[in-house]
Amino acid sequence: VRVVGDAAGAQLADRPAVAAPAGALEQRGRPRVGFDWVVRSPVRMLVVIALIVGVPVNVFGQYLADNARDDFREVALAKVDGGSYAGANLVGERMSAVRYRTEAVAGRARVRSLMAARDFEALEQLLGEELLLYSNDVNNLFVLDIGGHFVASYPSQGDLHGVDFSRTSYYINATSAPWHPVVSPVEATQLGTSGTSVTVAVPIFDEFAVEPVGLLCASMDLGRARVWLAPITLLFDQVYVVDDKGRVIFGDERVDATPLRDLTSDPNIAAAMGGRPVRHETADVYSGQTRFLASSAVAGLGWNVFVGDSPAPTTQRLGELTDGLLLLRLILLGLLLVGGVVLSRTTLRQQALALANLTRLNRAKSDFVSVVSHEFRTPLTGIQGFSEMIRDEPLSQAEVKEFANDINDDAKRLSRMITEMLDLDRLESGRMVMNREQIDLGSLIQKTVDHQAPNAPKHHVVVEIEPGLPRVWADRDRITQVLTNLLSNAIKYSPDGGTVTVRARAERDVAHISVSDQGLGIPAGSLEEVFERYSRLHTTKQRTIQGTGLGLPIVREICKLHGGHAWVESTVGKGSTFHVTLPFDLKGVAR
Amino acid sequence: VSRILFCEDDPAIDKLIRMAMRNTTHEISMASTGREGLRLAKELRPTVVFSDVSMPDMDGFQLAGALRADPELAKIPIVFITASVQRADIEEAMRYGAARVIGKPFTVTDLRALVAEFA
Repeated sequence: VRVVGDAAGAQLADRPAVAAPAGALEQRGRPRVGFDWVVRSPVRMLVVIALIVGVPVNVFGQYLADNARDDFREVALAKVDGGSYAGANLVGERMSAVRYRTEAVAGRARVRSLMAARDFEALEQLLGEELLLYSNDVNNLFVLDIGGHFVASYPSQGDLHGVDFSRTSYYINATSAPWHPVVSPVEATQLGTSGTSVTVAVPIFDEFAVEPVGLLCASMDLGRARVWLAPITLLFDQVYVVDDKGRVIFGDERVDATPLRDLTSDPNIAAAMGGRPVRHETADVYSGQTRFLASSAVAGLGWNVFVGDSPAPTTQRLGELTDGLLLLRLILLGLLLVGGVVLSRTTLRQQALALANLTRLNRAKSDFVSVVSHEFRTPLTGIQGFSEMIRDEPLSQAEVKEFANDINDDAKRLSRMITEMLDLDRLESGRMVMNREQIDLGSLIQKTVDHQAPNAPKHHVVVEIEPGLPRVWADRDRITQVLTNLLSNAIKYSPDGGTVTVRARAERDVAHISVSDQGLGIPAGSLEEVFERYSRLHTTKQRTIQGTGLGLPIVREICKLHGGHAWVESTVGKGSTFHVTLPFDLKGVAR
Repeated sequence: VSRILFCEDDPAIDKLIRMAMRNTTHEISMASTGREGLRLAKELRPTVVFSDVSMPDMDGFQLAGALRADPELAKIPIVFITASVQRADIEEAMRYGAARVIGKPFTVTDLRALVAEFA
């Protein structure tokens, strides 16, 4: 079996190459690492997003957290540092105040004269008056004579009179030449009720301020000194004062109140005693817990004020901050996750959609090409065959004329097919420019009928226009095309003649045009089909009727563009009526 | 003298075939549908049938099937004249037992050569 003829062979070869673009759309070869490759998989997408966004965010978050931790630490240390400085000032000032006050008392002429007169009763009375002028820091004022014997005191302690105090450290220190004021080492107290005391001893000189005559001593109960630190104790977890021997001499009540507990083994206290103030995060000497600890030296006494603060609130705030950051990171990661999946899915869907669209377009194009080539082949056969015979055969003049007429008919048919195809394409794609104007349908119908009449010698064409039919806002050429197509169809499909009736009437807001014939009719199942492209009905009688298969699709498209409708009613064997509506007013229709 | 039956629904091609065949000694019959072609085939017992594929009521392939189903007509060679000339169309025609397939537009020379081959 072979395919006959050059034409057929050539046509076999020139199969439309429409399959190629479809192939081009497919994924081919090795996958390339790129945007498309990434978005095609949600997992890849996530990995990439995590790398691009997640890592910097995490690193930055860590940096912020570290920074915040450092800042918090700095602030906490500055706070205890400031606290210890303030504490040292408070202690130093109170101690100085006691010393100056005592010096002022010792410098009084009356004290000197009473000493000289050895009127100790009066001296005790005087001490009592002076003690009132001290704050509560001093609880006992007493006087030793030049040999260190107890001579007077307030409150009065008669049993001590004449007792030798010359072995006390403050007597020994203050009387080492030249005599000078001293502050005794802190010692367990015999006076008062609290744990420790200190004595400020000031020399009493003769009226010429040269020869010492005795020693005025102010004994202080350091248990009361904790009040000095009240302004700062409220602000810190710990406040305590360590003397020059490394013993706790007083502090707030939260500190172990064991009097004169030796803390020299603690490295922080050792450092402060060595002249290196503390300012760091360290283990607390009492509890062993971590504290922000700072110390400041009290000027002139060799004491150090320690202020400690628990890092707990700071840690808690830091924890909150870190938790917040972690939460933020989790939220961000979640957002990225969701975003990544959504983006990936959307992209995938768009790609699938685009592919489906392209495939559909490609198939439509393929179908179109095959339909068009199929439709064109029929008139081309006539043109080719008749012209071949004119060329190759001895023909009579009449035959030549007849064949030429056939060729001409087929050429016109081909031309009409091309024109209508392009018209339909422009109508459907919206590229057909509408030149709308007010149209008097009656005269337009009459004109079209007059134009078609020569083609219908066997037909009786009746025109019925409703009087007073308003004008329609439409494109004259396109409406003419509608009327011509309907009229020529009516004539063509009633080959035995008969009456063709064209009616036009107003129906609410539309003009209703109908074209009726008494021709072949259309089966009920095909009433919609006739408005589809190339859907010419094949029935025995219709076979001799030529058409492009595009006339009615064009009618429907034009009506649609004018905001109207086109449909048909028909009875096989009795005839068809095609209906067209055109709105008078184009409200809501694109102009 | 051979009897040749043409089934062709397009009037222009119908006329072309008549004109191309007007000087042969063969007996030419024309049918405009598949059904008419089958009727004429039963009546005339043609030597060869040339048939369009796309026709009203009964297409060329159905006509070929009907001819093959009738023992008395089964041996008549059938040549398809078709405007559908893609490879799949040709292959389908061959499956329906086509002796030949001729594509539109065809030349009068080819048509006559083919008629001469079978007549």
